[in-house]
Amino acid sequence: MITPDGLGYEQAFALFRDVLAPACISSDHPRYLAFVPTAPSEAATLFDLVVSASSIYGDWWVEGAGAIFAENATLRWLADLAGFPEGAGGVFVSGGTAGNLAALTTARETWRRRHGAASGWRWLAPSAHSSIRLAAMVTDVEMVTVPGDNRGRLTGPALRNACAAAAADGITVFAVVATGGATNTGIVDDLAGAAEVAGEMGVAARGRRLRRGGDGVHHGPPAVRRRGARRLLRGRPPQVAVLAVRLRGHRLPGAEAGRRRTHPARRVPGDAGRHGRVEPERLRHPHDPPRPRATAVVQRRRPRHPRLRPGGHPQAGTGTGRRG
Amino acid sequence: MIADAPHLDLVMEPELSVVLFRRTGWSADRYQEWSDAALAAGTAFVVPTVHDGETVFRFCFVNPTTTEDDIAAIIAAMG
Repeated sequence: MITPDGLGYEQAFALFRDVLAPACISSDHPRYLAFVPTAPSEAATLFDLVVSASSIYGDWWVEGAGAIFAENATLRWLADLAGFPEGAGGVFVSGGTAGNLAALTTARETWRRRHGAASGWRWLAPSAHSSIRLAAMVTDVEMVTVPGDNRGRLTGPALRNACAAAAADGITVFAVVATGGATNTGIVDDLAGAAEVAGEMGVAARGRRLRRGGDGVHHGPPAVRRRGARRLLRGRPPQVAVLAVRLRGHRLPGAEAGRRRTHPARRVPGDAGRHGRVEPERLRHPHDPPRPRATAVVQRRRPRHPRLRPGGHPQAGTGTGRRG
Repeated sequence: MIADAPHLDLVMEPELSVVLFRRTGWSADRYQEWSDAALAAGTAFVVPTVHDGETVFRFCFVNPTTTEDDIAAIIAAMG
């Protein structure tokens, strides 16, 4: 299949069409109800093509200012829908596994910076997604499962008992993982109750504080936009520090795990100016295609190094992107 | 729609877009057989899951183009 000279377009496409694609299930069929898949709109699919063909990525500001700007604006929109405060931040990742790992690592790192190292890290995860267990394994912390109520939800009283038991054992609890939509049932934990207990523990005699993360498997926008979901999620207090929303309907460039852009906790959606001092106009490749419209706001600036863009302003030309 | 179907029982009131329901009288194997056959026929992709130790069906609604007619057809096919 992999040959020194390559298969060529036709044979490669035939291989996809006749062998590989039939061995997959398209997840956007209206009767695909098995899992929580992607269901991108035609516009999203088309724009994925545009972004891929543009060969841009949102790894860091110098190269991906426009994409990062769009990402930040989208995060701000989501934060507003969920009723999060101005200081809320986040980052799009490839899925729940990367999101939960990022959120919980951030929680622990924040604890560490404020209080110094501690032994016996422990999370409390009631109806935890499997990715929580994976993150616990990766970061070498102990995870405690709190018994749910008759619907399987984490409740404040059960969490309070578990936290008290942990404190009695001399264990440092640095995060409570509550879900904004369990994978198997769609059940939303008692987020307000969990946050209340976390706050109580934060002022406990032992000086331990709890960081709060959120695990929402049900596609950020559709779930958050529903009135009921918004009501449930609004139970979260303004101290919530990490927004770990899994977004699948449309991928943004660079939305893969392992980006080294900016620490999630320090990113502030909508405040793009904090993320870079280099104007994006300065680093345009001569063969770059026109930028997507989402970057229009930052394109207003005058380029300081026009020599890097010998083709002239992309929007003044034919619009095809490639020149010469 | 599930409440109106004599052969189905709602397991719990849904909170978001996941709906758990049981097909009365079916074994775990029967659930899987139905799921496999529906997928092979291209009529629907619905898989069983286990909730509180019981095998049940699970609808995950994500696609905005899914219609009530789609669901009605799937429910009828489970009869």
